Amino acid sequence: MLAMTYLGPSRVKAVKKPEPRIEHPNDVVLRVTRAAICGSDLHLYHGFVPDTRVGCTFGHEFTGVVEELGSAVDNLRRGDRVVVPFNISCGSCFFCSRQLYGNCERTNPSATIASGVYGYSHTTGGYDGGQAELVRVPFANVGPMKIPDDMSDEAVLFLSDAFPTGYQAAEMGSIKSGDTVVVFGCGPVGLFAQKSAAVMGAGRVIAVDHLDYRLEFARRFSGCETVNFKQVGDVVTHLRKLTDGRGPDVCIDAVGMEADGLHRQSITGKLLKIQAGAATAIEWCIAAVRKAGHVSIVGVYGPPWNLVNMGTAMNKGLTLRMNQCNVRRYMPHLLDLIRTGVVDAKSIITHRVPLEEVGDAYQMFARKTDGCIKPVLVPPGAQN
Amino acid sequence: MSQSSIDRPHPTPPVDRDPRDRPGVPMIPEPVPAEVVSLVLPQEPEVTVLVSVDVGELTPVFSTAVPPRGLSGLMRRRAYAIPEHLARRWLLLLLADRVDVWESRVRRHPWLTGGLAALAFALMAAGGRRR
Repeated sequence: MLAMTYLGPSRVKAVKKPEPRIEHPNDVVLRVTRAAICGSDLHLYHGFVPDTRVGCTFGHEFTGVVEELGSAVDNLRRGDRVVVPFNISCGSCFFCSRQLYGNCERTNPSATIASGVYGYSHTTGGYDGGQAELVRVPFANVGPMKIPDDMSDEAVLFLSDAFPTGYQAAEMGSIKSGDTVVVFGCGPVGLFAQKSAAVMGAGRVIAVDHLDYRLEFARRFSGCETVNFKQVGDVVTHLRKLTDGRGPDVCIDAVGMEADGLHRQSITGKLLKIQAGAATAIEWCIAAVRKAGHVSIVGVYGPPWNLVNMGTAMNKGLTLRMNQCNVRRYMPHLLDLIRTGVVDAKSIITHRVPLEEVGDAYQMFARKTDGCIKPVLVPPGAQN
Repeated sequence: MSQSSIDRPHPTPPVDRDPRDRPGVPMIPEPVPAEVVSLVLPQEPEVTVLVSVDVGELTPVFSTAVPPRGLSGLMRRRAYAIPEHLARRWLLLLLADRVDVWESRVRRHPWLTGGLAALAFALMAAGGRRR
């Protein structure tokens, strides 16, 4: 089968690989119909995530059709269309039974820090991802959700990660009606966090980025105010001025380890790699939010550490919340928001790219050229 | 590549204004009773699967994609024996990743790599004779 394959930092290619097979009675094998490239895939692409092995296939946002079933899978049939959460979860361990699917302890032998994740390095289990014609899906009784007959694969594709992650980010901010919410980052997760903040009744939503085309997209998608941090001098001071000098009630980091904006963070985190990426967005969240405010972090940072202004957070009495998204918990609710037209998730797709051209798609997404917000890969034979 | 974009602002009704309407509230709900927790048949390992010292044993389900190999594999094996809270585990894995890239280049282009190694050896030998 054809599959995106990692060859080293900034080098990926579609190559022929052996087809996945049922390795456990709870597995299914899916024929992939759509696979998105996530902003966090770029952290792998740039070689920031430890234990990213040459030959692995990325991709944790995908839909597909059930091709083959393990003997213990009783809630799916061959031919079912499904959308798959990026977490691989057993559904019944200490954490899963508390709906903390992102913390499942029975799917990742490589590390305790996270559950298994499709296509996200051996730090999260080393499972091959969905940027391929076929993908193995473990614990198929737990994760995949059938796509309603009246909905397209693309309409629900982002239930796999970007939409629930953005929604959980807003939810972890404990947003109250009328709150001012600042979202750092106007990538797909940032867009969904902005939209979700509005769904939760935020009075003002302010999006921060430095790419004008992304800020323009955010204004259209979520109706938010926008700030280009490269045009306002000190962004923290600017945000305080916009919020009566006190600071926003909630700040959300939807950027992660490859943030721009602070030379000190960029040099130590991205150039020298003596911390696990640039923690610029966390630093700005903590500095900007009002005292006793909430900071919500869904931007991805790798082990082992980051330089973060923890003393400021403590002295301001902040609540910090963060986690990998517990996707399965959010899927039914967010499906309703899509179905009822509250959120048009599909509209963030800017590019549809044949799987064969995956290298070009990564390059475009990484360089943020051609107005790219969200590229989606289309495997050979998948219907358009 | 095809490109599309939205061209209209989308109205957003605050349908989840009440926190009770949000699926992640409370953050940690009551777990289901312990007797409901299912046993999972363990997957049989057919290739080398490294296990973190902090995990302790193979999980019931795991990936068999891209098993460790070569020098990078030895480095990864060493790293997995180091507890996850120690930075040297992750730094060793990052180093193994870079070694893996070079090993894969050698595997993909053995003749070119052999030729370059022979050339380097010849140059070093010539330099030694001159001294």
